[in-house]
Amino acid sequence: MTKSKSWYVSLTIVFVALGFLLSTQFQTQQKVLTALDAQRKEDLITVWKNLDDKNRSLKQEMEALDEAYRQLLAQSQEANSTIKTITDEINRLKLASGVSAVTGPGITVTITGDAPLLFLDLIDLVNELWATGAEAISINDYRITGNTSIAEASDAFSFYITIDGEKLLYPVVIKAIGDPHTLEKGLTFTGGLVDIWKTQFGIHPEVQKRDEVNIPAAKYYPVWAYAQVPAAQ
Amino acid sequence: MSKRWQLTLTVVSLISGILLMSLILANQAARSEAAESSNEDLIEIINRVEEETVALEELIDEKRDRIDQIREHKVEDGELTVLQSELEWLRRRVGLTQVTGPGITVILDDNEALASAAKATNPLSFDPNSYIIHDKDLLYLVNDLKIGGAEAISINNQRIITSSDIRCVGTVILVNSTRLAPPYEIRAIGNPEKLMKQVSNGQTYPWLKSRDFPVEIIEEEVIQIPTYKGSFATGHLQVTKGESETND
Repeated sequence: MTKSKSWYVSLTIVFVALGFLLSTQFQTQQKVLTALDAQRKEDLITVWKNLDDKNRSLKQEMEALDEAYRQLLAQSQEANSTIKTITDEINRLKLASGVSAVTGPGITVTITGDAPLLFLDLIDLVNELWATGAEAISINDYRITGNTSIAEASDAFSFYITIDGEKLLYPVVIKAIGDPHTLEKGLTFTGGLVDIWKTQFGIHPEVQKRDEVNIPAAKYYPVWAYAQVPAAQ
Repeated sequence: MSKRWQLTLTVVSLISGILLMSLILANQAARSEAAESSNEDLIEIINRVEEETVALEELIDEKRDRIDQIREHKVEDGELTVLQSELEWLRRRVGLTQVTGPGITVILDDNEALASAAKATNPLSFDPNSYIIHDKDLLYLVNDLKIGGAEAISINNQRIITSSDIRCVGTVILVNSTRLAPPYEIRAIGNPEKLMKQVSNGQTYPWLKSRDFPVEIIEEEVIQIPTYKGSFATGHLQVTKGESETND
């Protein structure tokens, strides 16, 4: 029994060795078949030509992509610069139009209830402030725009000033943003508006320079019912 | 038993030997063939082209990624449209577009006829200031037009905007810091009847009329008002943070 057993073992070992040899032989054959140095010259030339064709088409693809990239980049930069230009203009016009609440240095003019103030005086004051470089004006925190009208109305008791139809209450505080010194001097120089108010009309406003003045956004913009922008523009 | 074992081993060894031999032969054959055909240059070229191809493929992949990135970040057409319409609305509001519509034209002129007559009859008490149009006449007339709901106003083709000032230097009237000369043609777009009524009962017109100045109001079906051509001073302004804005 022991003898027959050892026989089996030996045979198994031999077959394993044989199997190993066979697989090594197969792998070697494969390597030899795929290695370039095992190829014939004609085959190598074919491989080279194929590779060269692929290489050339890849280079063309690359050029096309480069061109597309350049164009896209230029377009996106152009679009971005267009957007930036428009946004800058919008921000500038928002400041100028009264659409935004604004802050800045300036002056305040305070007129108390005992002053014999006429609506024409207020029109003069606003005009004078624009003339001396005001960039935004409010009267009792009501933003003055190009449509704002100042008028006079009366009820059973008295005459009063209206701004866009709303009754003006005292004390009247006019705020203007701009260079504080220029604005103040523009009002208070000898022979200027405040001088005339004091000497001829008995109105004694208090003009004060301010580091910071807050002026609200315009309450509303009337919708145009008559004016139209020509289509050609 | 032992005889059979020996036989089997012999057969197996024989096969192994043959296999080993063929292995060695195959290797030798491959090597000798390569050496004989001297394809080394070709192989070198192929290897180089292959490397280049791999590098190119990587570059192309990278470039495609970058193109995709730009496409993703590309500005939407809609965004531009929204911005442009906002800008257009603002431009209208601040007077940067020409406007047309119905309205009125008011013409105010110096009273030269009366001035020369007065000068001739009473030269000593003659005051030329009493016979010319003043800045305040124009300023209050513009306010009258605003009360009458004027949507756009111009004086001698100077568009009146929010910050327009009307003043005089000597006897010269400046509007938007531009010198104007009589006759003054004030145009306003709006409801012609309302504007007419407001002007003829306003601060300037009745007063000048009562003193025989050559003034008139013309109702207009269509008038044109030019754009504002000046600048906007905004150097001291900053948008107040956290405040809401006016909408149309």
